[in-house]
Amino acid sequence: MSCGNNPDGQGTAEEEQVAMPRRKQVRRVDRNTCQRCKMSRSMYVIRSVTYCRPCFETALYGRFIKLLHPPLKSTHPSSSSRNAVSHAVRPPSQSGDVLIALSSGAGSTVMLDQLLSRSYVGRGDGASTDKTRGEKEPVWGKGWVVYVEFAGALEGVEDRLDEIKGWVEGLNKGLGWVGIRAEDVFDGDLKDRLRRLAGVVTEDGKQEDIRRGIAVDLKDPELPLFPLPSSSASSAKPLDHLRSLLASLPPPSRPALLSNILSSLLTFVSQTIPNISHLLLGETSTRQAQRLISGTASGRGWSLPLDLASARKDDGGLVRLKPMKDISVKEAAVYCRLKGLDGFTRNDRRWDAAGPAGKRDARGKGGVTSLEMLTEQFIAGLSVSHPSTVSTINRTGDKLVFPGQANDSPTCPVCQLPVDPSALEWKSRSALTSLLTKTNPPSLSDPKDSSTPLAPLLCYACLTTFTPSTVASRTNKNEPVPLPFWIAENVARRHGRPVERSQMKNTINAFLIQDE
Amino acid sequence: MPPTPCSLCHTARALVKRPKTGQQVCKDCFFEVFETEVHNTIVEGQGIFSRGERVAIGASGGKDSTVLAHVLSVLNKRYDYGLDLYLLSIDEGITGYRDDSLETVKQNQVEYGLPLKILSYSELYGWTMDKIVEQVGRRNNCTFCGVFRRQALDRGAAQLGVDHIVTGHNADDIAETVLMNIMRGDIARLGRCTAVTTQSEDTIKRSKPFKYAYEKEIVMYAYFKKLTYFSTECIYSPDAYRGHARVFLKDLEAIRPSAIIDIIHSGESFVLEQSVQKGMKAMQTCLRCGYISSNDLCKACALLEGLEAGLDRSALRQTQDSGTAAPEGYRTIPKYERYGSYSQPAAPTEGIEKAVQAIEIR
Repeated sequence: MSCGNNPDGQGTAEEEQVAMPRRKQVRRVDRNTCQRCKMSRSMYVIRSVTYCRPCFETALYGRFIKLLHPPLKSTHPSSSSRNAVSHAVRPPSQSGDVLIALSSGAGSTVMLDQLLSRSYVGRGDGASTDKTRGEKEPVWGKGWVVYVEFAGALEGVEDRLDEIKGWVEGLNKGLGWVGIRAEDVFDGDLKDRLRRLAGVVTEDGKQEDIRRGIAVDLKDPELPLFPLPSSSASSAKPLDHLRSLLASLPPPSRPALLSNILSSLLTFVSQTIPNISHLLLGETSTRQAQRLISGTASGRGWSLPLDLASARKDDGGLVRLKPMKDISVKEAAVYCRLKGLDGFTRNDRRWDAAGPAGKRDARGKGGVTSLEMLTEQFIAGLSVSHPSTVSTINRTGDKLVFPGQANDSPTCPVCQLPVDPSALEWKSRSALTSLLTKTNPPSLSDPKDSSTPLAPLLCYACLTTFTPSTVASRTNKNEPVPLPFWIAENVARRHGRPVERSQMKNTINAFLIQDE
Repeated sequence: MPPTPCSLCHTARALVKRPKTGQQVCKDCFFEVFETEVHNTIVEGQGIFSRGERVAIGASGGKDSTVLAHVLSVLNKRYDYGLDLYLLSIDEGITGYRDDSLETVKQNQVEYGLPLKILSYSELYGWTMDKIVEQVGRRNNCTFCGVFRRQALDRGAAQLGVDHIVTGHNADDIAETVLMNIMRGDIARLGRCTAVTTQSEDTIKRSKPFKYAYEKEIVMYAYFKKLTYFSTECIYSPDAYRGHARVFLKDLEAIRPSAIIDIIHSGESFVLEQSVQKGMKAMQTCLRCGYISSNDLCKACALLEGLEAGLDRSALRQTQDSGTAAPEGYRTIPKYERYGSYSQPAAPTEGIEKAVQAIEIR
């Protein structure tokens, strides 16, 4: 199309201007005065509105609790109807503990500060609160902070695990600390480590074996899976496995894998630490907008509404909350600055720097190699001329609903979100890679090598991540590359596996009169 | 270094690397795979066409519509769709742009033996785009052009007596629209922009057989088939918001070529909240010209009234809830009748005779 009209012939420049207005002239008001209280001297300008420091903090907190409170009330049996309606009223104490995901970015740092400064999280000692002294009853009895370090997988990124541990412990708020590394997704001992950390006593012989690794052949479009030799699982370091997997994928697919690693580790930690009922993520509105656009560009449209939701309960009963979803990264950065936290925060995720860079790698504007980074830069650039970009994108995302049955659909072993129906078939129909009339019939593979394929189990987006057209020329070795343990577990779950005697016994334990 | 064999037939020498899949293929396999994908789009689900349907190809003389005319003619014969194909062109009245490209359409008419109907803004609205730009300026002129073109296509199709219009919108156009609709929060259009066929009450069905065809592959097809097309940016096309989405999409494609089709896949999966769907306006007919509209007056009638009133860009803000009658002395758009100038022939005829019967003045 050579003109500015859209395919349905109705999108017009004027409507574009109406739907996405350019920066308007600010009303002639005294910009030195806070526009909320109209008394104090203004200190910050956010979306053309001036704020003094107290008004800015109040406005930010108001938007924080608007998303935090409602899901905590609706799940609590003792919620009164009035409290359930008003988000301003503090929710009742929750039965479980909270796991706070801290990335050291401005969003998660502000979230942690808000939770601690307003006594949402207790010290886990069951101490009673004296309301006559203005003390507030904590919403969660105990809080855990989880930090995932990606420095091993990223070139030139500083390892901050110890620094952040020190900072969290220095807060002296009784928070539990869980510091793990991205490569731990290949570590069979992770579960035991986490249990020891949480003080859970594991009886000998009852440890669950998560060492059953699998490997995938990325050169074959079917993505055949192979059991990983036990020697490989034990001798090679987890970081080597992670690096080898990242190197096998083209640069645009690596951030998607790292994002899945982060998500799976957070889920794993929340399932392993006892009594965790809520997982809090500090994703800002800016990051949400980026997630919507880059998710769309990756073909993740089917499960995006679930991924973007501010509150989502998974099968195990864990509730994921994103209370920072209405606060932009700029506002979070301003808050960090005024609280003196800006020396600690790092907003640069740098997932672009994962794996080796090839000379022939496809690059976008400015040498960017990932859809996520390109989207981040695009939204930041567009927000300059169209300040409402982030909020408009998020409003669009809020109106999307998941088209399937969230709890009944099979889940993708990689991203653990529902699989879109017939992803493989759709891909093969809209972009043919073989012609029935001309392509040689596939040779029958060696029965020894025949194994379970991964491709039919994946959602469309993960299929795109794992089956890039240039993979064959990229992989140096001809061997299959190991996959993280959570993928192995999920594949086994989708395919079914022999039930172990211990599991059988657990099921019927109540009916056994005596041990064999 | 030995020549790379085609990754589809494994015999001929590979000549191109497909932008969509990255596969290196020979010329014949490229033609086959391109045409088969378009055929798959046409027959998917219930199929776009029904046998015996009269179909107008929206022809601008550009690459998309030129290749579409060629491919549809080929597929119609190969798979025996049983379609009566016509070419329908709209002359917006842009000197040095549309008059040149219409020559290409006329050439296509001769090459493929398809009857051609050209409908101009001038005869329909009494205004050319040159005159409109002269009055309203360059900024926002696309609003007038877009609204007028959509209605002109429907009116031209009604005059031809066709049931269906196919347009050359390609995968890049659709992906770009998905992104733009997300970025500007246009939920209504986001819900329908990926549909291969759209039809509202009393409008003519519209389809996009090139929905999954990459722009680069369309150019590649035209190049190897030696098709001639007219290519230039519209001289009045402004740097609209769509331009941001277009540049962004090209960058995404540079990083991952499948991004275009991945965006379309996402767009097809999007489902809107019930409350959003219920909030959309019900359609009615324009009280003045009878065209489909969500207000008392259709957008074209409102814009025309603004132009006739001598307004500049403020014509865009012309209200759509005016009375039925236009002010004295103002030109109006003729009454829209779906099959107004066409009466169904007694016996079915084929090809050019049928088209002549459809458009001749009785």
